[in-house]
Amino acid sequence: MADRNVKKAGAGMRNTIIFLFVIFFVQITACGMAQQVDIQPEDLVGKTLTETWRRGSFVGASYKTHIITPNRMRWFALTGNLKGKSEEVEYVCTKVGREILQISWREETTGSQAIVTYNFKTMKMYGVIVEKKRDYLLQGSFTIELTNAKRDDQSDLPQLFKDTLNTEQ
Amino acid sequence: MIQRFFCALLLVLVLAGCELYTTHMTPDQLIGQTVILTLESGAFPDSTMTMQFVSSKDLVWRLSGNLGEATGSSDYLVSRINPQTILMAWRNEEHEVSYIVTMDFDERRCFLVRADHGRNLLSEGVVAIE
Repeated sequence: MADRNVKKAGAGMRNTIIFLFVIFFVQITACGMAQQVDIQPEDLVGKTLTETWRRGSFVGASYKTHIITPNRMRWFALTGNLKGKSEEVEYVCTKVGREILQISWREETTGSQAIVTYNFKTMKMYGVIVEKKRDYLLQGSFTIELTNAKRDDQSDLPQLFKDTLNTEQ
Repeated sequence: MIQRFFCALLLVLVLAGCELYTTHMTPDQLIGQTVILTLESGAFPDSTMTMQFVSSKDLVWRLSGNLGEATGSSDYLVSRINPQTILMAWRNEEHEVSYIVTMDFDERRCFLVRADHGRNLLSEGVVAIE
């Protein structure tokens, strides 16, 4: 009889531990799902975006974009038909969602207008390039990092940009 | 056994609850719908854009307010930014302007950029499905 009671108590204890473990698991899962990226336009200042278009008309074209101030940035075309070109432009950045920012600007180099939407949760970007006769829809991916002191000697950029920047300065 | 059943049930309910709080919208779900953008601030306050999605490529649009008064039809480009947010673009060939609209169906907010002869004119407002 006493033996049966001990077994019963042991089973009860085991069930309680399993129950607590499941509750813990549920809480962790719920917290994980609730965890979201929240980005502001000012978070981009002093950062460099490295972007590559992976779908659309400019597949394989990649860029580095230094966000200099809340309304000025400089892009460098690393590959693609604009390779070697660089331009400092005025931009507008709008927060369109918790993890989504949209940057729009006009390029003097090409005369086109760009509206690029960045999802900082998936690290994917969606661009609409407006040209005189037609619009292009593009999709790509990007990374973000601090624009660090390396910019002074431009060692983070390919050689072809160093001459361009030195000439401009 | 009963405890395990209730634990599993609890887990399912929590996960289902998380899912319920999120609106999911795909470009396909827009087809056959009429979406109304009521712009409140920026370059086009007090303006309305109505878009009727006829197919996966065509839409009929109507503008009113300081966006201009016009009606027409266009091809459109569409992309899904996240489960709640859809980006689309279309051109008004007659006036040579493009409209780029980002719609957050969870927060019911919309963001419009009109690419207008070298200028990007931005406006923000509310999105609703009629």
